[in-house]
Amino acid sequence: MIRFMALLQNLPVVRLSPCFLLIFTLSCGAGDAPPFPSEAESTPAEDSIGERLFLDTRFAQYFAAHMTGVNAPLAVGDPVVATVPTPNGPLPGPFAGQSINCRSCHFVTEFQGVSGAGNRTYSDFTTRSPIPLVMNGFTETPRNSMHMVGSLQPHPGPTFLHSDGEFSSPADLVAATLTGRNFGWAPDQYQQALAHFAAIIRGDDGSSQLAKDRTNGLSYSTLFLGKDSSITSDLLIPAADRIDVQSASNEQILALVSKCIATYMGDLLFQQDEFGRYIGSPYDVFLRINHLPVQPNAGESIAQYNQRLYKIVVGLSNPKFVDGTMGNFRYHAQPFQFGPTELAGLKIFLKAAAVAQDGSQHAGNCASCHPAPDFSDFSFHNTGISQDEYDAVHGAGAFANLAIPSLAERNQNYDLYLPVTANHPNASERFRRAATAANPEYADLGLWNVYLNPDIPKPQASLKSIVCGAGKDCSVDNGLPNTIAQFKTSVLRDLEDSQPYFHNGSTLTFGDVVRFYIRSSQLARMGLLRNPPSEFKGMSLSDSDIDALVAFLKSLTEDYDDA
Amino acid sequence: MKFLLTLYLFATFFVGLGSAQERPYFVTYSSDMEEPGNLEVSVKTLQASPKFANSFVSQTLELEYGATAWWTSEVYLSGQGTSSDSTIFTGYRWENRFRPLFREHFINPVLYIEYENLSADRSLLEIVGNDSIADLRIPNGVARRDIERELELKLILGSDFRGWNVSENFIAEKNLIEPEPWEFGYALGVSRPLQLAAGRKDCVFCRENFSVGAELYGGLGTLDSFGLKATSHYAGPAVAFNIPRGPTISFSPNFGLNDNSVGVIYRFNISYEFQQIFRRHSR
Repeated sequence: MIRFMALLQNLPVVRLSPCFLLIFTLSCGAGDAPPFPSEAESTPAEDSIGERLFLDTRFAQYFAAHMTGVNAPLAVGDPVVATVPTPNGPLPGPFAGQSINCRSCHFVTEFQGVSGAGNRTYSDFTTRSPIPLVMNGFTETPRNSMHMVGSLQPHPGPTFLHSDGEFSSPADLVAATLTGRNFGWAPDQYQQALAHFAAIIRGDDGSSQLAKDRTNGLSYSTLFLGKDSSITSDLLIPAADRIDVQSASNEQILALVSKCIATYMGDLLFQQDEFGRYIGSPYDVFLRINHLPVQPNAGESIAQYNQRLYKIVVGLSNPKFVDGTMGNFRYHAQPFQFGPTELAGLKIFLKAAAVAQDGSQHAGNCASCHPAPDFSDFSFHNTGISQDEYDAVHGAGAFANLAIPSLAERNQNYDLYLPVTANHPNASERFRRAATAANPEYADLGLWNVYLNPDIPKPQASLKSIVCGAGKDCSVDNGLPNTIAQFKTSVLRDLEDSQPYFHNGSTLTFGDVVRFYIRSSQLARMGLLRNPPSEFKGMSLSDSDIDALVAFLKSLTEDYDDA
Repeated sequence: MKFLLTLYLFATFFVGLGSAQERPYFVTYSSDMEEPGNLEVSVKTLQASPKFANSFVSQTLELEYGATAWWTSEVYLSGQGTSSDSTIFTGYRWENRFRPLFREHFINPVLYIEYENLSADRSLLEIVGNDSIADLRIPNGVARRDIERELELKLILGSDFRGWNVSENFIAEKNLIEPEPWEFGYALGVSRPLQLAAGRKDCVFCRENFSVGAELYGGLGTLDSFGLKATSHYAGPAVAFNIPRGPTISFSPNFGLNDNSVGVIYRFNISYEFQQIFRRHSR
């Protein structure tokens, strides 16, 4: 060994090795940013079971009415799932021959590669989704199916679900959906729905292909009991959650099922690394390769982060742009890019006009409601889309003159104004409907239907914190007038895969979306928008901004495929 | 946890009372081993303000014991405080260095093996793989979720020639709980006392009490993508002040060499060597 070392030390290359290393290192270049680590995390058992429940087609009223056995297929499927409506005409439904399930309105890869369709971020393709039975005058859901991916992204502030904030937890949403109108159950059929649902869970034998694919052919009763040795670790639910469905109450079964599906929903997130840094879109790549901050620092608010990001991107002197060499789309025809146009769009998106007198400032102020990195504040705003819909039917200015009752009048005449609930199965739901020429009293007032609604108690405390938060005037009716036509802010990530847009699905393209905002903010400046959002004061857009904003919105696209 | 904190504070206080002879390196290991029976206690402090991130201070307590002439064992306890964020204990390292050749050679190899259990660590005691400035922007609350249990191996090569010391480290690191590839890094150091021979007078601020040098270190990618692409690198001068019969104080500003690196890292170290601490008591 000593001789070897002596030999080694006489080699010139060894003596010069420090020099070589020095030169080697100093040539390390500009420091191309490394990719963020992406690691597969273990999935809770409720997640796998939840996915099976999400896809199970036996919980609907149609199945209850036509079944010959819990585990027997239907002889004739529900017509509502035979086809899937799209802007280009109906497509064969993936659940044809069965009855409705959660996935029927929240698709993912069912239409991958299908012309005129494609992957979805857990939404469907139509403006409002068809429902199994005509109920309370509805043939379809009151609103566009909101994309679910990212809706439970952890964020500051409370969680709301549905466009009007009807639910404050995913478990509540699941329980209400499985036993409600979307599954064919009338408001006064809750007990029947619950009994049928529990019977399916108790009687399931795991023989379906779905059970084989998702839960190794194990029945729900076996999975929920959690004692069978054939249950693999990835399907073993925590001991505290286990129940014997044969002896458990119907409510206990529903609670566990809701928890499983809620866990599954919570895992529907856009691509991010182990530290919660988004990685899937050209925009994310642009931030990373330019060493820009991708998320707020500790102690920094989302708004502060967006303001800081705006200053940084405005000051970028020599940005590196993203092209096809840095990524590619498998499911989208457009190039994987973030170039000068997208950057211009980002600047417009982040910029807030000082005092918007007109549309000349190239300031979208979009980030005030759609702040990066999630591109949603998960709160409520009135964009003017309800007024736009109503005025399109009844004429300009009609929505401004629509008679909307006070809090006291509304709550004293529940059936006249508020949505259908189990307590009020015959309510008119007049302010949670699409505008129609035949019924001028129909409009969609969004959050107004839920806020201070005595039949929807659970989200009220959280809603109060939003509606009457700092700087909000709640002197009139505890802020109820401020909620008129407010809807939950959509997550803009991969928005392309959830068109049509807005709560009523009224626009098909990003260009139309931006044009709507130009029009609506103009109305606000003219004092013609009812309950205008304060954020429109910082919006100053014109037609010259459309291309850049559209390019930027497209740069938020990613290949979401549920993988 | 309280015990560790107490130990840390105790040692931090104690370290200011003694003496040691040290090279001015912060990241690079030389082939020097700890004297058998001696215990060296050091507190390494690092401060940085990464671009677009909160500034932070990291402190590491280092306990180095010379088990034998060919085996030195060390324990590190690390913590960090990030402005507008939190102050946290980030974990520990346990390392062992083995010197296979006893006599001095032109190049003296030392083998190094370390186990570390860390989360949200910002001590930057080594740079490996694709470590970058982006890692330092992650809030502590998020970063702490990722617990790194890693094995680190180093080949340390040291040479002494006419008062100059040249040290080269090649680092290989493997995460033991995540399916990640081996990560590699390097560290180079060169140093020399300002004066080799001691003067006649017994003085504190004499040239022979100062060592100056420089360090260069960075990542070398992973087994899947070995090289300099997407790595960070630092270089900087270093100075050590060996106070006679007192502690050694070292300082080094490290400058980031590319966009993946933090602009400037300030490193400060104070160390003290207890002579024959355990053997004295055992007599």
